[in-house]
Amino acid sequence: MAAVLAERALLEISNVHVAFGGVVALAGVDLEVRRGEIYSIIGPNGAGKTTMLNAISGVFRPTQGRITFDGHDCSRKRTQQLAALGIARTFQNLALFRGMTVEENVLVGRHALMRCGVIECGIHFGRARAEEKRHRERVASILEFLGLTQVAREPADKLPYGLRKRVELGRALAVEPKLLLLDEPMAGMNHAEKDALMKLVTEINAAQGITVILIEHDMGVVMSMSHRVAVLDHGVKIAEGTPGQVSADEAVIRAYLGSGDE
Amino acid sequence: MLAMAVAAPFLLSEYWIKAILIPTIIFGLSALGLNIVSGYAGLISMGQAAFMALGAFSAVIAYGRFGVPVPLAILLGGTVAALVGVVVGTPSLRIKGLYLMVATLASQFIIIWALQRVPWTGSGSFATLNTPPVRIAGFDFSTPTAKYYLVLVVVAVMTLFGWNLVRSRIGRAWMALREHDIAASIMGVSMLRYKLLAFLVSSFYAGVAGSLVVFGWTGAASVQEYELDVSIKILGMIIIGGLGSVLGSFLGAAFILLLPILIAVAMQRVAALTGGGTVSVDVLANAEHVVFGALILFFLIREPQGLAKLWFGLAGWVDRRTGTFNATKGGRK
Amino acid sequence: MGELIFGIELLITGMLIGLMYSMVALGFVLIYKASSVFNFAQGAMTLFAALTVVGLIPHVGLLWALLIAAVVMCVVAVGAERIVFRPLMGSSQLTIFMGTVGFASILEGASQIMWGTKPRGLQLGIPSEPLKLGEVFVSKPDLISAAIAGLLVIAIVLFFKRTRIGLGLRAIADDPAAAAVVGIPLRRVWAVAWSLAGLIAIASGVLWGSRIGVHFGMSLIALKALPVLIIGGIDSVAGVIVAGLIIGAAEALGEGYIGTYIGGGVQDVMAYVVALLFLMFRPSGLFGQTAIQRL
Repeated sequence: MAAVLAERALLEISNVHVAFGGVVALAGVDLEVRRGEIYSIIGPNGAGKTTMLNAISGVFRPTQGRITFDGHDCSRKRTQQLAALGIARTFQNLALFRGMTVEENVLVGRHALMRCGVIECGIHFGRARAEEKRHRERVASILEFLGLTQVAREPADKLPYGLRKRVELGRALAVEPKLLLLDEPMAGMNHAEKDALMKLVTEINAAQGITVILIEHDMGVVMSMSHRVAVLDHGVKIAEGTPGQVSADEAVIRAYLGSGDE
Repeated sequence: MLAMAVAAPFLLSEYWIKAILIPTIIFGLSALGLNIVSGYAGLISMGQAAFMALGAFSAVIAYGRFGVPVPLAILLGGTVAALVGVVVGTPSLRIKGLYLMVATLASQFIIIWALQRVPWTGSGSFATLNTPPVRIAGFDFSTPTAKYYLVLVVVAVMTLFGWNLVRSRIGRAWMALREHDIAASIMGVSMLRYKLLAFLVSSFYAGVAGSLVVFGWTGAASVQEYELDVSIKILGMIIIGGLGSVLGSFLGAAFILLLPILIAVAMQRVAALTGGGTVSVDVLANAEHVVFGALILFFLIREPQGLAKLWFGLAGWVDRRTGTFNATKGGRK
Repeated sequence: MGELIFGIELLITGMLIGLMYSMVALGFVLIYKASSVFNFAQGAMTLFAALTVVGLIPHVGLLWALLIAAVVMCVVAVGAERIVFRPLMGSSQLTIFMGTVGFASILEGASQIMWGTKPRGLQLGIPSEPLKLGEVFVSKPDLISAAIAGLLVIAIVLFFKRTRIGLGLRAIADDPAAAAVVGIPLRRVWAVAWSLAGLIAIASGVLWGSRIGVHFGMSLIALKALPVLIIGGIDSVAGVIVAGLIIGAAEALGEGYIGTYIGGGVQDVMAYVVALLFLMFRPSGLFGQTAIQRL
């Protein structure tokens, strides 16, 4: 069984529909994300990219279809159970815990990995103390990896935009995910910041073996980083393949040219 | 600070202990409870006084009628309040803001109303139950000093517990829910569990505070001491003391309890200077309302982190002055 | 037969009072629509208004007292919006709500310093003998108060639907930023909404005052309008009216039938019990089209 699982894709999405009232955001999308790849989802605004991430991370339930992650049927899980399975994400419009410090933000990512209950946490002795220490050490190393050690004690909402994006990345990494969902991580960044972040994401993928799903508008970034790319338009997948295949695809070119003002 | 609290009975008169010190730490404990649900978890609650009432009556009935030992009666007071608190908190899973406010307000009225009608409580709008002399393991807690230490021990233990709790994964889960509940649940925080837990812990603290009122302060549980205005006062304590601050809960309680005295002294002085004679009790009570409201607004607008922030600022200034800055900076925040 | 008539009388009295709750509730709705503030101080404003009217009547008579109180309430309401709530704009709803709690405390204290804490009666000169409709007796003051309340409610609905300011209010409730972009004068609309809430406070204060006397307990009466909002939904005027009727009827029937068994006072909590039941089982209210407010 284990051998079979290893060969299967990490994330299988089959025939997923999401609708809000009468508006159809996803109309029967199939995707397969393999272990260890960087998989980008692109498409014009309103194509359903963020909706797809929301469906994967349990914010919305698909109205129809199935999402299988690592052998588990996600569409039956509650949002908070997905972190423990190993799915983490960042948000298009930052969703940091604003009143908390950088370190505390990232520590929240450890929540599902920590075990202590109310009584133990309140007494803070023995196991609870050791657990807190261990996780703080791990968080410290994540912060160091992201170059956030200097600002660990700062309130998260006082940081400049680029750093806040990194804190979100750190919070997602703290989950120790198998699958990392990044929703426009480069938006609003300058060239140098983008380069630095690309390096980090590549390293997360290559060195730590974390599978990444990336939504990004900057085609240069997408084409240089991704192993495979899927193109959504009006809630439907219109193309999928390597960056080279996708950028030569007729339907993709039409979709982008035809909806320039959306 | 703990050393100061322990030494207090040797430094202060009996009046100060009974009228200021004991109520300050009891209400500080209740405010700490409210701070957990409102300050940390960001859920409004207008019923903290009613939970105190539940604790007070449960404890006095357990001890006075059934002879349950005082420590267990205190625990029971907290537990009864906590159980009701969870029920009251249930709507918080689906609603927020106005709706939760009304749910907790409704609970405040309904609990007090029910207490006035339970035959055991003496009944009526002035339902009061006196406790028999408080004895623990043969030792008599009748002097203000003895009562003070009883209260101090319970409050100190629970404050330490609460302080640990808010800095643990549980406290962080509460704050995360407060700041962004969807992001929090994606990080693995269960809204259901942690919102109910916040209500449970919060009302447990209120219940214990209520039983301490009986055993360590007034010697009685009486319904009219826990009306809506008391809930609002406790809310004021955490706003003025500092939302999301353990220390602030106690600073706020001290401040609110000292306020009537400060106002009375100030107004009598002014009246004496202007030759206006004495100021009536009614005017004093209403002046307190005005100042209380104005302080809430002042802190919300100017210093949302309340007295706790000012306190830490002052402490930092003193430290720098005395050159012990580096020594304290290493300590945990 | 006598049993049935007793029930009908209770029902009618309850629904008349219910209309008066609806009117109080509209004060909350107005401000909520204009500035997304849930104004806990509406009760204190009612007390303040009633005390001002009662305090002025011996000096200038009822009509002038009402006019002067109207000016005072507009000043108070607009002043509060400027001094208190504009600085808090952009804070969390929890913070703003706490601000209104503080404002309520100031108003309660100030009004009683000015006018004293003694409960006062308020005579509107309505004959008090009951009206007989067939076998059923109906209290005339209740009927007239309810009629006034009902008219006010209709007037406010028309104001919302027909006037520029009213339409502006609705636009702001939908999306303040967009409303500002299309040139709706936010400040003027806010000022009008808060003033109207002040005027509703006067009407509530006077009508309730003539019924139960003018005293501190009045701000508690106003809080009973909150269950009305829960059941009716805070942005539905029709919902508020229906909910008011339900609450009023539930109170009167509860007091009449259950109260005798448990020593009365059922009407003090009936509204809250009904509201809690709704919150547990139907949190979106009667006309559940609106999403529950998330922040």
